[in-house]
Amino acid sequence: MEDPKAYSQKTVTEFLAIAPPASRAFFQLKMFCPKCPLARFCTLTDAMAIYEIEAEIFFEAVSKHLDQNSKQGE
Amino acid sequence: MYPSLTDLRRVNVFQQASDADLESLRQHSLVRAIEEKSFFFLQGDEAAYLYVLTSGRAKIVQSNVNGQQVTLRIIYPWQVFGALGAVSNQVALYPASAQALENSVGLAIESAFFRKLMASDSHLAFGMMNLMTAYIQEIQERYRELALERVEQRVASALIRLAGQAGVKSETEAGIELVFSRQDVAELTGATLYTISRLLSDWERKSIIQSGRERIRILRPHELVTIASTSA
Repeated sequence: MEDPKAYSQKTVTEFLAIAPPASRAFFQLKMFCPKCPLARFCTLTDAMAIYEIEAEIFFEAVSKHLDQNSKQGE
Repeated sequence: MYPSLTDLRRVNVFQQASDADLESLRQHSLVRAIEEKSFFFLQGDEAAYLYVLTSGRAKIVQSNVNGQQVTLRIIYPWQVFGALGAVSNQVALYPASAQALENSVGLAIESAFFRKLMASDSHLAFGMMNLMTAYIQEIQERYRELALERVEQRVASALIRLAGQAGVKSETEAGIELVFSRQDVAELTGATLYTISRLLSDWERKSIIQSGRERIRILRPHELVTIASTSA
């Protein structure tokens, strides 16, 4: 997938539909958005602000899990 | 107007059913338009039909002999309700009433015919099993909330659940809008209207929500999530 940062304004639900393995990054950072009924209302930017996670740390974790997943699939 | 087969496939229970079975369901059904606050059926009526809501919203309410009532669930379009008659071998009575929250339309399918059809179409039977399992899980969750959670947590959980199911995010205004009154929230959570008013006023002061007549706007959803998940 292209740079995950490009999805900052997508909702958590939309983003996880595109990149399901990214849910592991949320849980790693103790962000419980993937299980939240309100995930369709929050953008990634909202979620980072709520949990006070810096964008760099969040997207680094997302990229790591997406990379790991694609390597397992090879 | 009768729903098309494509529309009927929006109903989880019917997703895997054959076209022929869906067509025969339509032939054994009738369309009922119900005005806001009127009833699809009343608690204690013979459960002769199961319903699919095709437009509007309805609530399933159960009353005790003193007339106090609790809302068991909210029904949205393409959900099945009143299905007890279709799964019971004996003459079943509706254990709760179904009241339209706004002008609504439902497809009323003959329970006896649906029961016969389930015997020959395992997809329909599995669909109903999934529906019943989801009901049981929901009731278990509500029971846990009632037994273990403070009223503040229960109300926050109910608002989150309602927002997840039917909340609308406005393009122009901040927050998530819910079309429910304080009375609706009281009946959903088993709390008194006084308690709901006190809680919502408190949350309004903290700018977590805004509430108006028949409307609640959630301004800071995550605050509600925090309240719902924080034990005393």
